[in-house]
Amino acid sequence: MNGRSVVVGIVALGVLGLAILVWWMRTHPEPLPIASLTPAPSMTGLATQPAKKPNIVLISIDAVRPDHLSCYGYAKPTSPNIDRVAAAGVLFQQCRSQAPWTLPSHMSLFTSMLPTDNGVDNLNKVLAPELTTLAQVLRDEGYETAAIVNNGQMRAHWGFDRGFNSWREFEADTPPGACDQLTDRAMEWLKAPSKNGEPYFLFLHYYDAHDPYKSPPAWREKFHTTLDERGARDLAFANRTPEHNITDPAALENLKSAYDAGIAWMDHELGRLFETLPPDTLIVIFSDHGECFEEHGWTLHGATLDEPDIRTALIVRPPASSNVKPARIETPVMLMDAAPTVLALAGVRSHPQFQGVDLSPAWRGGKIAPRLIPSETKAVLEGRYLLGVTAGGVKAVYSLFDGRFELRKLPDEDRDASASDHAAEALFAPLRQWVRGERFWTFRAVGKGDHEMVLHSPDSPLAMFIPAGLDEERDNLEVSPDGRTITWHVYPGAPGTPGAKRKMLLVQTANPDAAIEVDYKHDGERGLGEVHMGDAAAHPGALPVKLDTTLAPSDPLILAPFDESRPGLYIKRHADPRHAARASRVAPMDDETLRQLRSLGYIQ
Amino acid sequence: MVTTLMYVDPTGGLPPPVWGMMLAALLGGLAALGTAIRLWGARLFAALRTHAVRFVVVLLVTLVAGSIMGFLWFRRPTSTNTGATSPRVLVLAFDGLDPQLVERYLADGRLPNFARLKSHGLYHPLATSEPPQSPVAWSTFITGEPPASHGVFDFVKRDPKTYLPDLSIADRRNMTLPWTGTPIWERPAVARLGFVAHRLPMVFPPPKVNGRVLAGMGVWDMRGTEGTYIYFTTASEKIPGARGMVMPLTADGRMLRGGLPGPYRAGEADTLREPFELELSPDRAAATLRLQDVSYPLTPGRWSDWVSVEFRMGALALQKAKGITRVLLTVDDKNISLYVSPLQFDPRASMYPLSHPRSWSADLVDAIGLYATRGMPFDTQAVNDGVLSDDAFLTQVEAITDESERMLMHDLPGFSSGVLFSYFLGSDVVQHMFWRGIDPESPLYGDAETRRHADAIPRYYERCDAILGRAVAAMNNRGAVVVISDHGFAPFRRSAHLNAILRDTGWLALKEGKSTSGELMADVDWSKTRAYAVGLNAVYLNLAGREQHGIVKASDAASQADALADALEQWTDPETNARPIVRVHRQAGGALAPDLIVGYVRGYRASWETALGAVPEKTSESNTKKWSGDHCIEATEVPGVFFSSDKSLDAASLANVGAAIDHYLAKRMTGDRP
Repeated sequence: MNGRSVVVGIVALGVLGLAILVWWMRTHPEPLPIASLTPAPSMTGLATQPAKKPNIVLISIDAVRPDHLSCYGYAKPTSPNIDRVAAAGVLFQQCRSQAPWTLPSHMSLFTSMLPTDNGVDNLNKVLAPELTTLAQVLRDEGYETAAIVNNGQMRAHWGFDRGFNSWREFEADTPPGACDQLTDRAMEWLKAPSKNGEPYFLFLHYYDAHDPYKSPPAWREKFHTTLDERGARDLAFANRTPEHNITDPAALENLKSAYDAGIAWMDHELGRLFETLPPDTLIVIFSDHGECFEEHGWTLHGATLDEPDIRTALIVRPPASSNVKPARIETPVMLMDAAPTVLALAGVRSHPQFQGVDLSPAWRGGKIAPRLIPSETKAVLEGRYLLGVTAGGVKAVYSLFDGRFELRKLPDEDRDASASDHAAEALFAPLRQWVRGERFWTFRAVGKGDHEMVLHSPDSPLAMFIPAGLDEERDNLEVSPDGRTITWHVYPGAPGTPGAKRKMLLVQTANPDAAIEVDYKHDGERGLGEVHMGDAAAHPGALPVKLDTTLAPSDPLILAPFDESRPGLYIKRHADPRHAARASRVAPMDDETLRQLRSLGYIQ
Repeated sequence: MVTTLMYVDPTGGLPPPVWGMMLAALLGGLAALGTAIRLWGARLFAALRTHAVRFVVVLLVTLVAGSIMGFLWFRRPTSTNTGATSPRVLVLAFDGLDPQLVERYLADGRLPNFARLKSHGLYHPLATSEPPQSPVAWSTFITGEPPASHGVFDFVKRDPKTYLPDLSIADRRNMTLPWTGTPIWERPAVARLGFVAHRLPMVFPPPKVNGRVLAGMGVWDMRGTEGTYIYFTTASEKIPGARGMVMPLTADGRMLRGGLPGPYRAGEADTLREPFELELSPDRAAATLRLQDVSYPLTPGRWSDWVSVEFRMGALALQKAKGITRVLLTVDDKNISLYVSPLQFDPRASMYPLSHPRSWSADLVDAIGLYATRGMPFDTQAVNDGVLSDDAFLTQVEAITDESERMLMHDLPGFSSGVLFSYFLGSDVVQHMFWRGIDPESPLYGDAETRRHADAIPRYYERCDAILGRAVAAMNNRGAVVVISDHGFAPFRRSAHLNAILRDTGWLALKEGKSTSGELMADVDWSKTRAYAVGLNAVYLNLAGREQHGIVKASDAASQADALADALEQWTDPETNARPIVRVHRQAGGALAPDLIVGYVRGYRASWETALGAVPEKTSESNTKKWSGDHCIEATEVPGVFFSSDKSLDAASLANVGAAIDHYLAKRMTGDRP
């Protein structure tokens, strides 16, 4: 070898190396991920955006009272797996839902809006298309979104599926909808959640703790309950209202144990899921409402704003990489806070629609500003219309049908607790404002005999109808399939006589100012003098009578129990012209939705 | 998602590991060379002397090869250096740019950049949609289809069951796009390479694209309208025919107070107000506006900076709606007025999605500052009503044009592939409002105010030319530049009250005792009406089975439509003896489509009353409003323009532009050359 060869060889090697490098860069034009591209600041959105968005699993444990979870202090070991997640995360001791039943509570969480504001406060109403859900926000930010749910009230019909790339429903109270199956489906999905490595948002809805407290025999045995699902349902439904109570402590304990067995079974199946979730997954567990066990005369849920009805679990386990120390937060919070908190932890800009707040300052040493925690229920089956706010250890509740405000001291909810006028007014004023923003019709039937009213809304479907005082055995309420006609058939009894009961019907049309037509018969006869319209109690010229906004409005804030003694039908149109009317989106339910709701007891 | 925003990396895009390897290779090579010289230096130099020529040749070859490779290396596709494998098309859309005016100003030498584009590329008028209205035309551009396919026929549509009009530029009830069809961003090449659009019309709510889109025309204001101005004044006199909100400004010495109206839905109580204070300086030469604990300095006659407002709504006032606006204070001897531009959604926190991705509307604020989000953000109605001066209006036009240009210039450096669509509505509104300055036959031509702004239109064309010049420079001869407009322009001297014409020709009947009708067909007798007009070009038969109270049998529809078309084409304006309607087109397209589209001659247009279904006494009248130019006439009278920097990218009509762009990009992706 000579020097020339060496020089030529070195030069050739250099040229060859350069050529290889150039060829490689030209055939791989994508910039390398390290330091070769700096995204423009205008694309980052948030100053504190994490480098990688975390995977998110949001789990709803329907109807689980937090005080029946071990991590919340329950003596029985109902939730060892949830406890482990809570031990590694942040547990909120005082979380309240915005509604004590499934549909409005979940939709309130998904939209971070009060049910009255998002419009889904009733089974007839669906989410308006202009409103945004948590899933939509996350999907817009590049998340792969999926939901695996059960229950007749978690259906796409109401808009729950909005924002989910994949939405799978399994019927509650059926084998495919049980928690073990749900966990299996979730784990299958988690094997390949996204096509191109995008972060995922998975929502799971477990219904197994919900009445009728169904669980396999082994779990019932473990929690020493003799009640199967039928027995539990019969016992709970028979003593639903304060008029009937479970007075035997052993029977009540038996019922609670059946409930606990359902929780424990579900927790066990959740445990399998938790084992597969990597530490860097954001896990949020919440219950949509609680459950009553005769604390104030009620069982089941949905008809009150009592603590057992609205207190919920809320557990946030941030990704391990966020180095959040486990904490227990006493500050009162609400389920509407869940969505903003999830977005904050995902590094996603919150949505101006969201009424809740990001709770992460609570565990970072900051504070959540004191605020009113609202809740509401417009319960058709029980005939209840309640609005409530909680703040500063006191709860104020307004009952429309009773025309009464109540102040309760927490935590025991002593009714009519005394409070300074100032403190009471601070809670009553927003409730007055709240109900005055509503528009609805009320109908009251008074006097002995048979009262039959037929209401037809030709221009606008019915959005809500709540009968108060309905006697299930004697009275009747029917709605036509097209959702525009109600037949209300009641027997109030003569006022002051034994067995007499106030019979009232609240009706709201989708367009709250739409005209309605009312026909009325008392003991089979039409009597114009027995129909009293408006505060002036005017009589119609003919029946059926057309009623519209020409009828002078009455105050939506009903402040006294109705005690009119003249027989007949009393009609009022409640509206406050100082408040804008809110139109509702109503969609007729498909047969499958109706069937499921009937099977679950939500429609009779 | 195509990332079209990148920084230019001074390392040439090479990450540290590669630099390290190269450095190591270089040092290694030098070390090897040094070692070779040390070991065999004598023999090496001897060999070099002996074979000097060969050595020089090898050295030269090495240097040339290295240079070529280096050249190719630095010419590889990067964010600002798009090579042949990253085809791209910049589309500048100047709404309403008129070919006759373009050609006139080209001849006058006022449009040097357009001239260059024309000479190096191509130019021709661009056939527009029928009718030539922006919502129709842009839907045609987006879908590549005529109205019968995409379903947008006029600015205003009607519900056949109620006869009530509604705007067609957005579907507010269902929050879906108002047209149907395959949009340009889903064409194969565009979908693959990416699509970015600023203020794209007819895309509210904004669709998901491979790229980004900011919605334009169709985005409503906070009051759910296309733009309701609010005019606070201490004057007690009413403003007849004012279409905005005229509200009291109560004065208490130098302190004035009012309440800003908030979000509102038609038919509901309009009660939401945010109180504000306006404190005049002692010399009345300045003022301070105080709104929600923020103070805004105001100078009379000048637009303010952006003013923010947050309305609280809902059961417990938990719902927040954030808006922005600009205000203009007027102080004279008698009165004080505060003009408030229609409240629009704050792009940083909009209740509705203004862009895809949703966060982009806020990111744009970080990049270019706050900007108008209303789809048609110019206060033309206020000018028409006399509450906003021409000066103030032109200042507004300049500001909003500036926003669009800033968006464009911000995104151009990172535009590496696909389509970048940049929209300017200013050309349309300036011609609408200032045609009187170039039309000697306009009733307002001689007015002092008109004369003062006689050059508003040519100056705006020059503005477009300047924008074009900057954009072309930024494109740096890589990729094509296309300039389009959706229609041209014509004078609007006479209004045709089409429903009155239908009344007088026996096609429309009014209720007994009525000779006129207010808006929304209030006094029309449907049992005797065979046809009615709603919108600016649309006529509908009162068809049985389609309309709620239709009387024309379906079997008679074709013959009735023909007869009506003839009648309208023959109709003569009794005041001018002119025939305002040059052509009536039969229209197909389903239950919501009009039966006829009226094509007016230059100089005429349907009246504002026609658009909302009113029936005035007269059949026509002179247009004395400042809105003096228009294009809602016979489409062949008002084509748009088409410029292209690449002769292989051409389209004869607006409907073909999308396909042409996609074809152009596809060719370049495969490496084909013309």
